[in-house]
Amino acid sequence: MVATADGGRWAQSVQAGDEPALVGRAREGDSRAFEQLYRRHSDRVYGLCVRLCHGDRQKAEQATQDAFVRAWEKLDSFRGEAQFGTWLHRITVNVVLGEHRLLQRWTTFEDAENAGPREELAVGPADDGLARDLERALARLPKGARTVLWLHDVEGYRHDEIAELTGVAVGTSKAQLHRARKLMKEHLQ
Amino acid sequence: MNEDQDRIERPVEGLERLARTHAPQRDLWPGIQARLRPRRRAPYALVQFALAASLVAGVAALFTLSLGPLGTAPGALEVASLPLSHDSRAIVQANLSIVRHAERELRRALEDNPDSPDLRALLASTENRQRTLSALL
Repeated sequence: MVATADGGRWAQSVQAGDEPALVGRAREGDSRAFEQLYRRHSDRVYGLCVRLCHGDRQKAEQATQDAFVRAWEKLDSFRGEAQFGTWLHRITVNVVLGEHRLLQRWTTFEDAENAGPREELAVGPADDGLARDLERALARLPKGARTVLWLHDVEGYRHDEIAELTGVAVGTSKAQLHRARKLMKEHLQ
Repeated sequence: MNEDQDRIERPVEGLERLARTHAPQRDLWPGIQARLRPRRRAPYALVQFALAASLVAGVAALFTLSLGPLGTAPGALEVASLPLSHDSRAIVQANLSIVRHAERELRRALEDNPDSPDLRALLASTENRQRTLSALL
């Protein structure tokens, strides 16, 4: 599996050129244009899904497909105020975590710290000691804390955005982030 | 906030170096494509048809209300020979502007859907209404 940590460069490259035209054509029902959007964004969406599904690639594949299908259905609501990739990212978070209230469940009922190791993710170019340590520490976090940590500290979501997309309270998101950072730092010591 | 607390509140160093993109191990597009329902296009023609129809209906209603007794009788628009008050003239001009706009939109809609009998009928009605309004001024 190919993996990169360079989300910034990715965002620039996929936004280049004819993306608004592709979105416009897709909105009019052109599935070939939508396929091109899929080709551009699939690694990013799948990468997010792998994280949100805690390394379960089968679930991540299903979630990726669900996210793109949902995006197709909601294309009329995309106004172009944000970049298409940003809009798609939010749809993905909502589809994976919000619709089935997964994050809400994890933060309420599945609060135990993971004892066993989960499948480790490939860390790509940042495949160094620190990255490996971070992946291991992440794997030990409770699902809810890990998810909020990822969305907030890596993907850049605010607590109110996490709350809106997933259905948890803002206070819950803040508490989970605090807990996640604390545990991470303990695991990394 | 003490030093420990401050340390906990800071983001974990190095997290941003972890992978954010992963290539799926298989092509997921066929599975997506199979689930895509045909998008119901909101063709320009239909949108403009609805707009124009509502405008013309609105004009008719407004005109009838505004001109009072003149607008209530059959053949109410055969009033070209009657002098209009200043207010009525302003109303007619405003409605004429709306009808002209509707006509332009209908012509554009017809470019997308030239065979639509509904659009053609509405255009004819709009042109007729425009002639009637123009005659009033």
